[in-house]
Amino acid sequence: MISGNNIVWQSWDGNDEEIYFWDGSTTTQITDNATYDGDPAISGSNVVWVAGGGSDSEIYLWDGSNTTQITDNAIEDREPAISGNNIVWMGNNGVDYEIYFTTVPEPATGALLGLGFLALLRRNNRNRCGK
Amino acid sequence: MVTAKTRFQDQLKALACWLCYTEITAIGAVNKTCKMKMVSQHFWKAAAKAAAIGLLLAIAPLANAFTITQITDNAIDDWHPKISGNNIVWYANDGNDDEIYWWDGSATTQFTNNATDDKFPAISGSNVAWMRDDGDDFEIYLWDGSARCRLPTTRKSTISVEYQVAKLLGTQTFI
Repeated sequence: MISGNNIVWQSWDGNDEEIYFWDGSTTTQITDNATYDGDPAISGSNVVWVAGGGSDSEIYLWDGSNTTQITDNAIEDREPAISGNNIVWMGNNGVDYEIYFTTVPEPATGALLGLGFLALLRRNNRNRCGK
Repeated sequence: MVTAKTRFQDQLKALACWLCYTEITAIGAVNKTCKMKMVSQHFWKAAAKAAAIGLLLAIAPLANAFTITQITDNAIDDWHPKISGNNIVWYANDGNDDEIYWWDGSATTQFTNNATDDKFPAISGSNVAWMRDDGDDFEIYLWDGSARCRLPTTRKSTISVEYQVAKLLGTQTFI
């Protein structure tokens, strides 16, 4: 799968399938574990794939530096696709396959919330000392 | 003698000193020490700050959590989702044959409705391409946002939908 100059694919590392990423000059092995990783999709530097295989596979995201597990359930999740920060996949709800959707949370949301809160505390402190 | 109680009190005071460092610095300019009397005046304010920070630390991970939405909820299999922006396409059996469905970010519409199989959609912007059984074999069809057409190809279903979309839109170079 390709997005701009970035390419992602799955390949056998001698033990199982892993996810690899090429940014136009350098290849990075995104996964390195003892479970199946496959069916990758890419948008920009965001990569999604299926890990685990079988009846309890999960969807994972790599944002260019960190890996995050998107699903965590007891059902099979497979065939992820991504566009920007929007991710879709199909999952078996125990009866049949349904379509699921999520959006990558802005990574700075929590940090900004915290910094704003601490800034508010500092301002209150300064106001009190200035009296 | 340092008891557990006095050690705990000292720890609370130290916490209050740390949380009220602005005030302590102001006091220290005069006395160079953390006056416990002053600290006690600020203790409950410091405790309130500690509680607020604790709450913040508890809430912050939630702000970064994935919110998963189930797009479909029916008694049939929904297959092969693809996405572009907020638009999602997939295919499912409508009771007679496979059809293409489209979710525009808020509502689902049935994109195809005929007596033949439509499968494996791909989407890029407002362009949707997919495979349709024309009675002989599968052909590639395109919706360009206003009209449907069959793509000219001689290799028919041996060419993937994604390949045809990319080639048609000129987003990739194939050799």
